[in-house]
Amino acid sequence: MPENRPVFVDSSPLGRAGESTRKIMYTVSLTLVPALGVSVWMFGFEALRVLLLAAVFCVGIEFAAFRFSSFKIDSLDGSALLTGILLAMNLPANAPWWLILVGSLVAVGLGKLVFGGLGQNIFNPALVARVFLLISFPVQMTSWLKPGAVDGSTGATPLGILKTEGAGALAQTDLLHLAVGQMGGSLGEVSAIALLLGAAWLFYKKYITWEIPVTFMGAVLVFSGIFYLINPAQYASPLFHLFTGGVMLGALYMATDMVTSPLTFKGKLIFGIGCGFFTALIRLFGAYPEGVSFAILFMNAFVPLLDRYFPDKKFGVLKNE
Amino acid sequence: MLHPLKTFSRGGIHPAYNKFSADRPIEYGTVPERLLIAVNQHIGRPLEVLVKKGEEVTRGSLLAKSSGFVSSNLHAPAAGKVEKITRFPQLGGQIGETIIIKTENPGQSLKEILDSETPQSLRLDALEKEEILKKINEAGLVGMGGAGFPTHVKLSPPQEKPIDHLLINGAECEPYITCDHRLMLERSAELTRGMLILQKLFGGVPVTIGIEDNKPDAVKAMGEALAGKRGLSVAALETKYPQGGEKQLIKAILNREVPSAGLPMDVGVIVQNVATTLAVYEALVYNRPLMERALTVSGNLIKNPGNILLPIGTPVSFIMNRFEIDAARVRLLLSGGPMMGRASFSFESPLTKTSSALLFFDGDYVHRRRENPCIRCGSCIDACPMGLPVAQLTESIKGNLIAAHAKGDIMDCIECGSCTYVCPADRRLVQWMRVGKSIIRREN
Amino acid sequence: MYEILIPGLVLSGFALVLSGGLLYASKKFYVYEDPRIDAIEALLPAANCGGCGLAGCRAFAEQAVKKESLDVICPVADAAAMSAVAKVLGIEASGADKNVATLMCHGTHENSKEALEYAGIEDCWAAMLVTDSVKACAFSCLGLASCVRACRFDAMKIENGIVVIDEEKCTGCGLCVPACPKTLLHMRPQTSEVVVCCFNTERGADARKVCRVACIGCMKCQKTCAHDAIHVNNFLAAIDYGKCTNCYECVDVCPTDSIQIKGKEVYVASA
Repeated sequence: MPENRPVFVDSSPLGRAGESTRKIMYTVSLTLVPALGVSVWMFGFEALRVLLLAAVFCVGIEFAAFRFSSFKIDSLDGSALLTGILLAMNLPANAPWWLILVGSLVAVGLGKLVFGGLGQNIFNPALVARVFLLISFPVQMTSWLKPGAVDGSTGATPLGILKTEGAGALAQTDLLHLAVGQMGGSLGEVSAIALLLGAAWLFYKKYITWEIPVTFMGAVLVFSGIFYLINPAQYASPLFHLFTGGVMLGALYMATDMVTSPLTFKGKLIFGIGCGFFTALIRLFGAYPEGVSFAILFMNAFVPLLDRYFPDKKFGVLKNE
Repeated sequence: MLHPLKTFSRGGIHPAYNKFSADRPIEYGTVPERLLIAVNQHIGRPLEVLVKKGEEVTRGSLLAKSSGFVSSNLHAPAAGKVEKITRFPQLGGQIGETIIIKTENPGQSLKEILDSETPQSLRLDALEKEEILKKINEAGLVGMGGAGFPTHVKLSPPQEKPIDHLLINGAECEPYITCDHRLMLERSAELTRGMLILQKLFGGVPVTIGIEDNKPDAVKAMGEALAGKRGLSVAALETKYPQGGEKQLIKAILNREVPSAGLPMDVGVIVQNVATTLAVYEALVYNRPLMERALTVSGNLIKNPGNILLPIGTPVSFIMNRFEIDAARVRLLLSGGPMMGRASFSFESPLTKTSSALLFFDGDYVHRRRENPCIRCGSCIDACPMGLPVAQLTESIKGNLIAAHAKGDIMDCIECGSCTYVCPADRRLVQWMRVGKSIIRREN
Repeated sequence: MYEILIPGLVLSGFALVLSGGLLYASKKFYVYEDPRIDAIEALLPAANCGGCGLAGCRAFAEQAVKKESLDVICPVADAAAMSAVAKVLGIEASGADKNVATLMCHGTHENSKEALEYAGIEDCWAAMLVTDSVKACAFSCLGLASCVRACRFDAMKIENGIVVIDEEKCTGCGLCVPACPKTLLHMRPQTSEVVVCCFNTERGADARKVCRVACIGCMKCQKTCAHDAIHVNNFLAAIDYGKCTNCYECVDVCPTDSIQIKGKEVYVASA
């Protein structure tokens, strides 16, 4: 046979759309830039420090795991970077460096690598770390820098105020301020508008779909709205709940994490509603002022079941069969 | 357009179509020095070879005989002498029994050969159904879209499955391929007669030809050719891959869903390819067995992509000479389109009845990144036109832990390639599905 | 003081009541099991490979005790272990030779040229769905390691495009045999050292064209063999291991070196 060089043989299809894991991970990371910008604007250099430390720690830990194990891990595939950024967005701007290191170890190690690396984890790594830190180091995790405070003075988040002092204390709060991000909180909790801006690009690229964010936010609105209607003096308004705390970050970035969210249409709807319901439940009646991370982690555990029992309609299978 | 175009309801992708050869008329090829005719070019029972080494054959003489109902005759496309019968690499990677014929008049134009054959006068209303089927069977017709299923079997559904609609598949949704497009443009009158013959076979049921709207000239040409013919119509379809999948075509045009594990005849439909319909016409009017076919020659290595009519058994190297392709630069040789075509490793492999295209690519096109972990993005599930949970199915196949309830899903995969095309983790999803199918078949 | 005493007493009480329940249950639902089953299981390799044809080592022990015989033997355990098992049963162990897996191919990268660059899933069965051959020879080992993954004893690896079997580690369980889509893996008694490393049934000239060490069916080995142990069928020599005496006559006359000596690399080096 007169071949000069062996030709390639592969199974069909031979063409590709040109998507890659790296492209997705770095794109998602980039869309977080507006929200991070607002954080830096609000909290100054401290926010940038937390962000850089978390990103470097997460990528570094994964790289070390790759060096010292037989696993094939692409530590530059962007997933560790994204985990680091999301972890930073879940931390207060005045988090000490060791807290970030512990958080990164938990996120990458306990949240991802112990399950077998990328794609195998059941729970969102950044949220595993956040909840771990929240329970282990409650003092450091709940002293929030006041936005724009140059003297480093700390204060409570609007949700913290709501929990400890009741809805009355929030009477003068302006929703627009909350939406822009003029409130205490972790890096990623502050600006709802900036998060929506970044997520718009993800919607356009179809990296996230509408099901989870819409049902998540809808469920928060509905359940907090019911209690607001019952007693507006005791409970805060649903819009307040939507724009404070981690609902935006959770609904747009944490709950839509590809690895830990359902694959099917109905599964996504149920997942989103569940996240919203438990968020509202914890906020209204729980011991913690904020419930987004717990709600998402709780629903993460149901993802395999949702995928299994709420499959998409298959071609050629009739409903009554 | 005011109303949306017809299409199937879920999944599908929009690959780069790259139909470079759409405006190139089908050229007449010539007879090569040697014809290498693969014995088994169809799905079904293997053939019984009738010729021996050294035997003289003429155009149209039977080389191998069908050995059962689901089988298909094989004829010599040109006069010559049987040089050898041996195992030879085929397009598509298999190594199969091949009859090598040294031709008598190499270089003779197919136009000359075809012009010398005269049509018979065919009176449609005088034709018996059995006679049509017998002629199709003898002519060795198979589905020319790529599957290679014997046509007479497909056209003989059992009594309990009445057929009330025939579809002609002119979607040609695969990138690069344009030969059906050209056939619809250049031979619309003959295609119409082929459709009338098929219509006659099923007692005058409606016949619809579905064409993707990226071929407006073909929609127009067929519309004009079919005008005034009772029961014959054109359906313009949205350009979306895999519009030409049998089940997707039926869903798009008739809004019927072929049941899982079922066949089109279960919903009263039979689908035929454009080239096959033309071959039916030729088998009846010219008494001509299936001996040549139109194919597209394209790819990113080719300066002048085109469509050409060539005898079955023409080796790839002959085509490479004609289209001036530098063998040293070819890193990927595809028979069929990039979505469902098969890669081949020998430049001496011959054309078969099912080769709708030959595509030549250089190293830039080849995709050889290794498989990365699934990140559960769900792109494969969104792209799947069959609504299968591709990500989970392939994971279970990979671990060799196929659940009983997943077997039906795996067998329902049409291997269209949409999932692999969109997968960001470069997973060979279709190949895993094929592995799964072969595991299930081995179990049964 | 009472604060700690009361829970202590309560918990102890619980423990007493529950252990009583367990004691009752173990007496009530006691099933007699031949102690020899546990004894035999302890002697087995515990790999649960299924090489004996039964569902794991426990199943093997149960059947051996039930039948009071060793008509099925564990291919993995060595002779000492099997005679210990026989001792437990009170019978004589049969002295069966150890079998080892053998690759009937020597189509390394040098011997059989690569015909194509396979870019799909690294698995022989998956590759077979795409192409019949990776190397010029259509019968050759694909080198994509399906058998290596099937081996539970780390006795196989891919080297230079073909499978290399470590006959010391190979236990003869036979799990690799059905894992090869080309049916190139065969079991042979380890004492039988001469192997025809080829599975190509094409005519000599065609086989030679695709591989340097192909068996071309020249019949020289058959004519040379004084023990009627090697026969050529379908242009391919095959050795009857029952008759082969390891005289190496056929190895010397083979013009293509397709007959090779296995398990005695020292001999090859000094010859």
